[in-house]
Amino acid sequence: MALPKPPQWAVRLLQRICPTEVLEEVEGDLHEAFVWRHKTRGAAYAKRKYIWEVFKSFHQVKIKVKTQHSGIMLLHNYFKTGLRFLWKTRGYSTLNILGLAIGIAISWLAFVFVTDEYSFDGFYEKADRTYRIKASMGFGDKPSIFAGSSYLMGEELPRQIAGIELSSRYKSGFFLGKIDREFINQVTHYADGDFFDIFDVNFLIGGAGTFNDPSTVVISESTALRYGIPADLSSDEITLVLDNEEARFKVIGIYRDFPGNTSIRPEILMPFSLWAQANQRRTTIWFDINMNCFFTLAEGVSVNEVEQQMTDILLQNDEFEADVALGLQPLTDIHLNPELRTGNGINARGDNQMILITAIIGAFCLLIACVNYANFAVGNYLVRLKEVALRKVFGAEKTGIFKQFVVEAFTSSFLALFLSVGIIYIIMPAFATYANKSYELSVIFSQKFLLGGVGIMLLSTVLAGLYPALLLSRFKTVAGLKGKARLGGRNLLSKMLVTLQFCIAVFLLASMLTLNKQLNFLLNYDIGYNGENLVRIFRPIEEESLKNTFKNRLLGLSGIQNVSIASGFNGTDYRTDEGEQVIVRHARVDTDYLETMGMELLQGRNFDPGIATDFTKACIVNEAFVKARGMENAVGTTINFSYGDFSKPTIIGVVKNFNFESLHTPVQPLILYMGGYLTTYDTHVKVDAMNQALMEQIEAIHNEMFAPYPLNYTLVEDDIANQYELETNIQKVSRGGSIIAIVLSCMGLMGFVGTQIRQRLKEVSIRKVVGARARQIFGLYLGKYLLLLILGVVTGISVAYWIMQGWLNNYPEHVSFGMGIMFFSVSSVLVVAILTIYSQLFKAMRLNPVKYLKEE
Amino acid sequence: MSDYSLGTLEETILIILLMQEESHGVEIAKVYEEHMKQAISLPAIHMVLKRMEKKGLVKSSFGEPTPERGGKRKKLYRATPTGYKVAHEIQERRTQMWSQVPKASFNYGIA
Repeated sequence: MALPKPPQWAVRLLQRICPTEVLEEVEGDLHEAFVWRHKTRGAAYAKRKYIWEVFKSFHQVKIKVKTQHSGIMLLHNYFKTGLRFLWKTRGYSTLNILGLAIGIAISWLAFVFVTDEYSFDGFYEKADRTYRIKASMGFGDKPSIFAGSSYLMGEELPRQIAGIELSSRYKSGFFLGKIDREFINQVTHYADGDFFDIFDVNFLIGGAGTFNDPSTVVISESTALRYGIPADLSSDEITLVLDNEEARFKVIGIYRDFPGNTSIRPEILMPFSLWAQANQRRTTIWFDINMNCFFTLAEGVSVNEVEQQMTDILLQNDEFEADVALGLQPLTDIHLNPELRTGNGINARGDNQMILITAIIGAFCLLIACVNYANFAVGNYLVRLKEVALRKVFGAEKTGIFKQFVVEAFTSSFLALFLSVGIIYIIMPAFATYANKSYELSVIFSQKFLLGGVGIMLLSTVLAGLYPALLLSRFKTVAGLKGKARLGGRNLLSKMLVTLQFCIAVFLLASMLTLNKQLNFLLNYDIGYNGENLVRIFRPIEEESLKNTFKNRLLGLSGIQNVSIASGFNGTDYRTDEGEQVIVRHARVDTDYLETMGMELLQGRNFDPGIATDFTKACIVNEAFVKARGMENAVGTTINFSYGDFSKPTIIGVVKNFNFESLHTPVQPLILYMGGYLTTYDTHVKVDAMNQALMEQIEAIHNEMFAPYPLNYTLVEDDIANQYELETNIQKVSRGGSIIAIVLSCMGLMGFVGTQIRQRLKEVSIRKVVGARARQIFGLYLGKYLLLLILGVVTGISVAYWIMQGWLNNYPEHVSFGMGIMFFSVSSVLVVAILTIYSQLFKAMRLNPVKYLKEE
Repeated sequence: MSDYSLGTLEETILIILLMQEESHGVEIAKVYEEHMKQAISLPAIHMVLKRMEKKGLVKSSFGEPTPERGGKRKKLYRATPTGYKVAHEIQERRTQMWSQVPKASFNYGIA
């Protein structure tokens, strides 16, 4: 009978882990035991035991590694020499590792932010097949694109197009929520039954069912908590108020809160049938864009085909003069696409500038830090070459030397990674505020981001270590031993890297300054009205008498100068006698509007309460309107504008352009009038000075007249500032980023110049002995670096000019890049750089030549 | 004796070697299991033998290759005179100490 054999893979494993001198004994013993156990206890037991004992033999690995694995032994040695060298040059090493740590910290943070933003909405199971409706409308060369759909589109398109698997409309609604006896503003969302399928809504209890009954709602877990709805739905009634009427709704399900990285975060979901009941008129209009609509397409269905079908169906049912087309925007595109407006229940960032800028700053900071490291490592070549040459004499190969320097870069990066956690801890709170995120330090320790951090560290190892490793491993051994080493021409790359750093620094600085200038311009731009001491109260009022009472009671308070009640700015079109279509914005105001808002009348007169026709047949237009219509004498002209029963007004005045929307868009033609039926929402109150007591008095009047609605007001000044919040935040982030980049570049220059000077102290000494003065030495060496600096700076400024000019063109009103910025950024970087060089040359200029010449 | 501190397992295996005069891993394991009524893994024995060899308590030599060892030679261990002395001393001290344990005590129920 042949003897049984243990599993071969286990034998091979054993052979790998045991040092040769014990292998025979161990392998033999284990084999013998296997045969014995096989005979006494059976094959399976013997095999199991064998494998077990092979694993238990792993303690031999330690001995094997220590004594027999040359690769690992060498690695150990590389770490040791690397650390010793770091310690030997600890001044520069600290600078260097600190630089790397800053670079890693900044790019790590950028990585966290950017991946977080890009993960938006992608986690839904059907995210790759889910779209929302968008529409484009062209009156000429540039079609306007907007996201949104009508009720009817959400009803008919899924019914008629087979490729649409699931569909849900989505729209926000505004109610008052009643908790005990208190009322709070409550945003709700209307949705259709498929919504829960599209967005994987996870019900803790109950469910949405067909979601048709307008008296039922489903709410999120946190909302349930707020309204005191128990988790078991033992009490399931919530009370919401709309139009002064309390309505009770039955909660039929509680769902888990939506996660943070989605644009869709409803607190209370209501069936669309509820909205349809209240808006019968709007349920039959095809092109009445006022809500969002999500479609999930069936697998394998082409998006283009569905888009075409959608457009076809729309055109069959409605007639347009303009080119109208419907389209689909991918769900995952919503969060960052600045082109399509958000709103109607979607809370997306709708912007990608911040992300782009953060990513650029992160990448640049890492690059600069790595270049610093590489230059420093190369700068020390003289010291290291002897060591390298000796290693080679003893049989080291090129790859070995290469590995050694990569390992050293790794050691530094690794230390820097730890340091960077501390740096992130310091800058995280500020960054989180500007990025509109609730980040805490613990964010970076989540698996995904920790891996990212380690990835960045490895990347910086490669970036920082590759160049010195290549350079030093290729050096001639004999030259190194003789100490004749001069890198000569090859130093060119080092010089280029320094140049690149300053190129980046100037680029960032100039961009930051441009950003700054543009923002200050926007904030100080004459917006055409005065937001100072102006309070805007949001309160829809229908009845004329109620308006007057409210107004008069407010004016009765001391400290109030003016009150004006106006509608929002709506859009419509009308036709001229020649049949030309005119698109305008219009608003309903009152006689006190211009004065309250501090607007300037350029021609004609203001509305006069004493003239009856001013209420029915008069309007005031803005400059943009006059310009768009090409009018010579606007005042006195009658226009064909009509809205409801207000029609054909005569222009009585022209008001100076004021920005009723964002400064991101140019001022549109506008018509102001006093008649019509537009609901007025905004009560503007001009006060002498803002103070708490006055606001309390205003609130008392408001509550007395409009209870249970709470007072909802903003300061117009804040509103204006809020419009530029994004720019302000970008400005702060980019300011921080560019300062860090400049500091890093200077650290690099310091290291580069410093190491070079140290190696040329003998040369400097001889120059001094033969009579060179400090100033001459400074000039001599400065000249060497100045050319590099200027080259980098000029390249940087050109790139900045090119990119920032493009960015500025996004704004209708913008500053120019200008000589000022150019001069300032170039000169400040140069001055800082020259000071850095001076600080390093200082030592050389002050040295005692004897000290460096007495050797040899 | 004070120069050598022995662990329990070391001591047991040293005694086994003294019992057998000359032995190798698997045999030690068998004897151990027979006397101690409990299993032991070979790697553990290897580790202990290596340690004792370093301390000079045992020495080793190679035997003949056999088919049941997959053609590998046995590594045979025997105790050195020092090994014998150390083991003996331990046993004597134990015996001496044990002799002072009371022959009868109510505490242990051996009255």
